[in-house]
Amino acid sequence: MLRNAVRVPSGRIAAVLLGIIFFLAVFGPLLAPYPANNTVAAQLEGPSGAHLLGTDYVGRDVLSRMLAGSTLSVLGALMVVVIAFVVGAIPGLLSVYLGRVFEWVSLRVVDTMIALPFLVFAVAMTALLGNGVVQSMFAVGILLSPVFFRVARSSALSVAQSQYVEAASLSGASTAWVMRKHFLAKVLPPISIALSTTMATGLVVIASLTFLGIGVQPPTATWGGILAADLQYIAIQPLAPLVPVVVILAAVLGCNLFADAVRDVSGEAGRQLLSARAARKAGQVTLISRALIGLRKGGELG
Amino acid sequence: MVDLAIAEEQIAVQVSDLRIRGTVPDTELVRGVSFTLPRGGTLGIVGESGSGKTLTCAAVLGILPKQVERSSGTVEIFGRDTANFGKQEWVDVRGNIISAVFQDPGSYLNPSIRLGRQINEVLRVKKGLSRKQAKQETLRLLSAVHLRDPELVYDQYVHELSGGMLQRVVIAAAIAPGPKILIADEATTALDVTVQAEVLDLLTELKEREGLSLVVVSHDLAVVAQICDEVLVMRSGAVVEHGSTTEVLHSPQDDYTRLLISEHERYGLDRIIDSERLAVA
Amino acid sequence: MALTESLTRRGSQLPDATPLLDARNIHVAFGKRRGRKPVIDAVDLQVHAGEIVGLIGESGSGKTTIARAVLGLAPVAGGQIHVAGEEVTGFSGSQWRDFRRRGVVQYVFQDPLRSLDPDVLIGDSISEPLRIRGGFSKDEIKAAVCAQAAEVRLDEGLLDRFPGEISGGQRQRAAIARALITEPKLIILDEPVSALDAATRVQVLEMLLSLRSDSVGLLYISHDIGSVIGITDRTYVLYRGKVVEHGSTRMLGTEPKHIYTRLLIGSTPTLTGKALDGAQRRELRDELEALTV
Repeated sequence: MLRNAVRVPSGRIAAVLLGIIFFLAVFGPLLAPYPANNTVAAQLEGPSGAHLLGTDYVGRDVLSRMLAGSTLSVLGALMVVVIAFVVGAIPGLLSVYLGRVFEWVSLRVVDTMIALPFLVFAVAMTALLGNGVVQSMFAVGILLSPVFFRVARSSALSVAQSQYVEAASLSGASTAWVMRKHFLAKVLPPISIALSTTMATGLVVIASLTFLGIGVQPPTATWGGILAADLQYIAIQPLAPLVPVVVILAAVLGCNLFADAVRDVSGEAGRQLLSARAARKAGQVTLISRALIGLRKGGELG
Repeated sequence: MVDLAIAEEQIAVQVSDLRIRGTVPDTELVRGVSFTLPRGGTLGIVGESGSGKTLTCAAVLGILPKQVERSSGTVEIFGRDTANFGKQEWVDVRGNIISAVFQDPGSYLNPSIRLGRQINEVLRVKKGLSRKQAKQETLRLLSAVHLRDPELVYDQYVHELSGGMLQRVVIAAAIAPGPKILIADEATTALDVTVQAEVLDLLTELKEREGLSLVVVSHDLAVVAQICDEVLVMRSGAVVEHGSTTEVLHSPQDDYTRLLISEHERYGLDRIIDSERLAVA
Repeated sequence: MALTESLTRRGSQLPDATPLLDARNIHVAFGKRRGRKPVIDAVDLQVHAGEIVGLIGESGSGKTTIARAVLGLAPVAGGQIHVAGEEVTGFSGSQWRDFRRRGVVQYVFQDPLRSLDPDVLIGDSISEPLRIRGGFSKDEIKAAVCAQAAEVRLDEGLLDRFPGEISGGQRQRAAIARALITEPKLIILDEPVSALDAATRVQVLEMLLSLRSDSVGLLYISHDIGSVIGITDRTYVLYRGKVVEHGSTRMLGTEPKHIYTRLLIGSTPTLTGKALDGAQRRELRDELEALTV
């Protein structure tokens, strides 16, 4: 699926953007030319040879702060994704196989979670767990888990009830075989889409929280924090607040484009798109328009 | 106004060189179909999915889907050209002059309203009957379609009836406003063999009693052969065979027709029960 | 077990008299206690090598339930089922799995669009039973797939396509190839041609006839009397879970004895329109009601 996703334009752009973002998250702090938290130059200087993106209101190098802040911002978002996945997808999958009681209980829990207002829950969690980025991310992760529950459950359910799985069972397939050969291919696309959109949400949430000053003490650099601190100086040194905005946007865009790419190459429309591409490459003339519009085969008006 | 005009007409439906185009992608879906349905006659249209049979019927009823349109040819219902019919004219004609039943009766009925009420609605809207009159007429119709217990069915919901019974209810609703023409498009395809026979019997009976002109559409040549005087065979949007039933069965002109006939002779009841051999090249 | 080894073991190991399918006094019921409804009631069914046996019934007759009972997919409340000489009633889950892996019985579903995984290439779907069994090399598998594709007249180029890219008839042929690849002794087909158009139906029916051999028995389940008459030697008529009549297909068609069979045959549309007329059918129906109440 991944190989197919990067074949479409949206997938390629997503790969580039996400690649950059993750690179920054891992290596950013190491690559910073200046210490991120120390004043190294005059305040609010524009871009120059020494400071590619200028300095902020305290005189810190903007580029270095952005690089330093990458890790926290991206890691925080990743944490949301991992928690949402573990808390949601695993019970979702199990609810199909563990029997009626577990199914009923898990469905009711998820219904309740969906019914709770997001913000109220976040505040309550903060009261319970304390004020901090980690706690907030934990709460957000739990709040976003119903999506993974639903996706995992519906994929597992449709595969479990399908005739091709019954056919495989009639040939003696074990549950492990069915999982590997049939279930995985079906659940990977919707889960990938859920993972990337949740990542995008996580990025925005952590940026918002750090913007508001929750959980991270200054002078620790975070993308949201940089924006908050330098926003009022936008007229003088626009790069200082805008740089974090651009990076956040790029990251979110990358996530959403990835989700789009996965959507395009999955399912009926996806298979048609891929076979149309293969046919084009082989030099055959096919009705590309048909594939791209996603018209289903057999939708004849007879 | 409409009734006066049709009293003299002996041709119920006249289709001449009907062509239908699809817009996305641009293809001709029905390529020059012509036929005549005389008053009180039964015409069968045989074809598979993609043959254009359903689109042709849709054109006659004025219910072509959005991406599809008539590009040329005429459709006349009792002498009136329907090409420029506006909304009101179609409303006047549908139900009162021409009606139809389709393949999946359950999907043409509201699952949350009792069946009696649904037929009442047709009567009250189309014939202006009062509530009381409508109920009486509905019960009469339900027994006319040979439902064993019309009073019971009146109060039942869609999910309580079998496919065959539902199809009878839909037929009752279709003939409620007293149409002169009934189109049955694959009306028996989803039904069991014994139920199919009963519904075909019912259609024949209604034709004889109410003077209906029937169009029976099916992919099964035998179904059409059972009750139709005339047969049209369609393939890929065009008519490949046209004639009286006996003509078509005894001297088919087209290979596709021959295939259909030989299938029944080789893999059908015709193989063992009949001494009458059909001419298949 | 190597593929080549099994290929040379053509021909039944059983004495000819032993039926490939021997179901006796089968009872299947669904629901619990008070709501318990019998779906199959005291059914006897046999299929011998070299035969194509038909099972006719309308909806609700229980014909698919019989197939499922034979395959271990429906709980059998009473009676015994022997497949290729081995008793399968009372098999546990793992016993069923081992039995199924041997590929002795195979099943062809009605709708190949649903019975083939849309995300799996046709060639891989066909070879799946062998790969589940394990122990074959890639070349052996490829050879087996090509052999079966040829047997069902499926073009080799289609093996690298997805089910959605090929026609309904080609899909059904692929499904049949999948059923043949383990060299089963008993093949159960449930309405294999009802989803196909006329031309393809004829081809597939002809192909099924060509599968006849003295090591294989076919059970052909359908509500379409036409095709049952076309290809079966003997037929069982099922009505509300009971076998009401069985015998040579020809006799059933020309001289049906049981009321239901007469109604069924009399309701089947024919080209020459010699089916019973409405009044006769109503009479039979009334008699039938009286009988089964």
